[in-house]
Amino acid sequence: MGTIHVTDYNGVSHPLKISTGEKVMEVIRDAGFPIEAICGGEGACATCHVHVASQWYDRLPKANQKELDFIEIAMTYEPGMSRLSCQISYTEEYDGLEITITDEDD
Amino acid sequence: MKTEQAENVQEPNRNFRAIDSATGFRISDDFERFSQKNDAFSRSTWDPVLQSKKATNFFQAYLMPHSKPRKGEGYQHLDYALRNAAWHMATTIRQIAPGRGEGFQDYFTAHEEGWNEEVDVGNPEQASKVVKNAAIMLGADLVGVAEYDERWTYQERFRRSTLKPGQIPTAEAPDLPEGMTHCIVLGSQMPLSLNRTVPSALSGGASGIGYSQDASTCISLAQFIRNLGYEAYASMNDTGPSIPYAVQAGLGEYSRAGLVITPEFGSRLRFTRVFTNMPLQADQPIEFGVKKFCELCRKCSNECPPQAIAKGDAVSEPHNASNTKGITKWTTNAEKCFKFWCSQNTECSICIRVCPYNRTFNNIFDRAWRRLAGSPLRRLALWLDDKFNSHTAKKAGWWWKERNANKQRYSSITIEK
Repeated sequence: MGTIHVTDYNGVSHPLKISTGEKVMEVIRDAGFPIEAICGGEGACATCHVHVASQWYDRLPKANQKELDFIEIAMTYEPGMSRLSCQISYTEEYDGLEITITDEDD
Repeated sequence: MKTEQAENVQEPNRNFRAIDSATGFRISDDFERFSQKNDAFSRSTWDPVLQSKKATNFFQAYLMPHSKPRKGEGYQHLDYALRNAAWHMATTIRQIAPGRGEGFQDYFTAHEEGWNEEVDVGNPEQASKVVKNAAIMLGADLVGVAEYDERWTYQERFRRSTLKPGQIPTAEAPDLPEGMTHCIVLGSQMPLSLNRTVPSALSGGASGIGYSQDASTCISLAQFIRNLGYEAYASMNDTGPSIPYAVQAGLGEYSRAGLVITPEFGSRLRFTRVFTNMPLQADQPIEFGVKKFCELCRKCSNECPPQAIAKGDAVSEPHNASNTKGITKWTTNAEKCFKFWCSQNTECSICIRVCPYNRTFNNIFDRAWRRLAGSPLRRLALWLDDKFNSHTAKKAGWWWKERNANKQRYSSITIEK
């Protein structure tokens, strides 16, 4: 069990508990944040898109080709920050991970 | 292509027509003509289930100041600029008559006076050939004729322009005049190279240029028929669904993705129609193995991001209000499909890109593959498609820079559209 820090649209950071093997998308969505994940966590859309803090971005496993194919769909795509949260499975080395939910409607 | 009786045997009911035995559509007693207010695009303007800021942004993005270009490849300024330019003529013609949404909610009215008496162009068979020759000359890539079928005229049409906030649209009868006997169905292919860049805003240019050129083609064909002294009404997304007519006119077979797969272009084409009272000979539905191939193949449903395409058998139960009631067929969940379109602020046609029939068929290999796919060896055809025919996405940079990098002269002969 560890903690990830999720920053919402208003810039407020929320600590969320997460277990090893859980997908970051599921934890954020289940906590009530506006994550649609309409592909069901298959990495085949960009409705669970998040920005990962720069100090964490390179520590995460590289995105696979499928994620790379879809991540640029996101309205707030930002190279070096953007990831699909359904493709990040939590392990202990990511304790303290900082991500930001972006407003895809703006 | 041979014409065969479909396997399904149906109990005749008040909605049954003889042609249903050949199209494969099973129409039951509880069939209801579709109301345009219930298509996903219309619902997004009045139904809370599909109303959202994303949906509003999606429609506004077809006007450049609201297009929201961004950093993702295929979604940048250049991509939206071309997509919206491709849509421009369709959008302009749509607004040509005050209070009407021509080509989308209402049939086209951009006509001049025709001939004042009916000109004899031969018997219905000969007249059909005259009309088909004209249609190809005027821009169609594929043309067929079906008998007019009132089941495919909307029960009610939808007027977005008069919709007030919070209002549920009221019923308004379709305005297609009575007496139409035939529906000429026109198909136009969408550029394969743009389709390969799906998902992207750039790829939306394929449907945009399709709509813009289709408007010209069907308006011109209707004018040609008017010039021969008959009534003719050009129609695009208005008046009723195109897919059943395309099947009935023999252009192709209905597929798992809810699209028509044609022998010439797969499902990579758009349909428009011209309704007329000109005596014509209707074509017959064709069968070249698509139904059985789709029963085996799941590429469109597996690759659909929102999982909107049926994985199982044809069913009669609708997913939601955006499906026609009383037809047993493969049915797509339009709510899921539309929400994905809105999430990326542009159209999607991944189901068309990944379809094994998405080929040019201008070479012996594609034609041999089509023959194999329509035979009992269809599983081998699917394997061959997996092995040798990549339907993976190309990036927008490939379309803009790489694909024609070595070309010295730019002409429609040397440049792949």
